Amino acid sequence: MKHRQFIFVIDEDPLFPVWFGSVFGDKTGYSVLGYSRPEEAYEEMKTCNPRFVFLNHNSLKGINVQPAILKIKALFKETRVIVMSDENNAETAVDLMRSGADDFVQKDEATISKMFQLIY
Amino acid sequence: MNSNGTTNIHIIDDDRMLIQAIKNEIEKNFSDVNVQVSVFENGEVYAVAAKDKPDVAIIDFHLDSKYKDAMNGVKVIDFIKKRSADTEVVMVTGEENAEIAVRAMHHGAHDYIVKNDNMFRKLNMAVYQCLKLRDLKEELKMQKKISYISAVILTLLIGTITTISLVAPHTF
Repeated sequence: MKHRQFIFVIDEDPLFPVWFGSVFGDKTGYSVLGYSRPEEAYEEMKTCNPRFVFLNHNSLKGINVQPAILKIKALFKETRVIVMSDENNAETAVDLMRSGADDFVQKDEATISKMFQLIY
Repeated sequence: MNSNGTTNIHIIDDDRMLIQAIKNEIEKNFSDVNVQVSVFENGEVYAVAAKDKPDVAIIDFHLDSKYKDAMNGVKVIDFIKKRSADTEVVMVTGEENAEIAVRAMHHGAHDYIVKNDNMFRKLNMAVYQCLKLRDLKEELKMQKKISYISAVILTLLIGTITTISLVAPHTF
C-alpha cells in the first residue's frame, strides 16, 4: 500500500483548508488536513509527519507565526513550511524566511499556480 | 577581513547619487573596521572590474537603467556567491516586492531592504550583522583548525607512548 503523505493547512477560516483540499488534494495525491491554530496541529504532526505545512499569516489573528515556524522546523526538519499572506510586504517575508519558513507566497491571481509549483 | 586588515564592501547600484550616499554612510559608520568601499554601476562591470572578494556586497535589484539586458541583482548574487561563498549580501532596492525578497533570500541574501526613509538605519544594522557573522565564521574556522591540530598531536602522542611501551616496557 502506498504510504499516505500529508499537507497541513493552518488557517482560522475552516473553509480555506476545504478549498485547499479540493484544489490540491486530488491532483497531487496528498491528504489535506486543516487546523485553526498551530497548537492543534503539533500533536498530529508527530503521527502524520506532513510534507508541507501552509500557514495563512493574515488569518491567524493575534498569533505570532514566527514561533510556530521555529517550532515546526525544530521538530520536523524535513517538513517544508510555506507562509501565505495577503500582503506584498518584503520585510515580513524576510523576517518569516529568517525564522525558518521555506517560502512566502502572496495570495493573488497566480497563487494556485505558485502553490502547484511548490508542491510538485 | 583581508590579509591587509581591511574590510571590503562592494556596492552595485545604477543610481550614482545613491551609491555615493551609501558609500559615505558606510565609511562614516564603519571606520573602526578599516572599511574600504568599492562601487560598481552594474553586474557586467562588476564581473569584469571587481578584483578582491568582498566581505559584504550591497546590491540593487534593478540594474538596467543604462543597459536593457543588464544582469539583475539576483544574478549578481549568484555571481558573487559562486566566486566567494562567504560574502554576505544585502539587497537594497526600490521594489517593495515580497516575491523578489524571497528570491533574493533563496539565492543567499542576508537581508532585503526597501529604499525608503528608514533605509540607512536598516542598512547600517544589516552591514553590522554581516560583519558579526563574518567574525563568527572566522572564529569557527579557527576553532576547527585548533581542534584538528589538537587531535593530530594527541594521536601522535598516544602513538609514541604506545610504541615506547611496546619497545621498552620498563620506561614507564
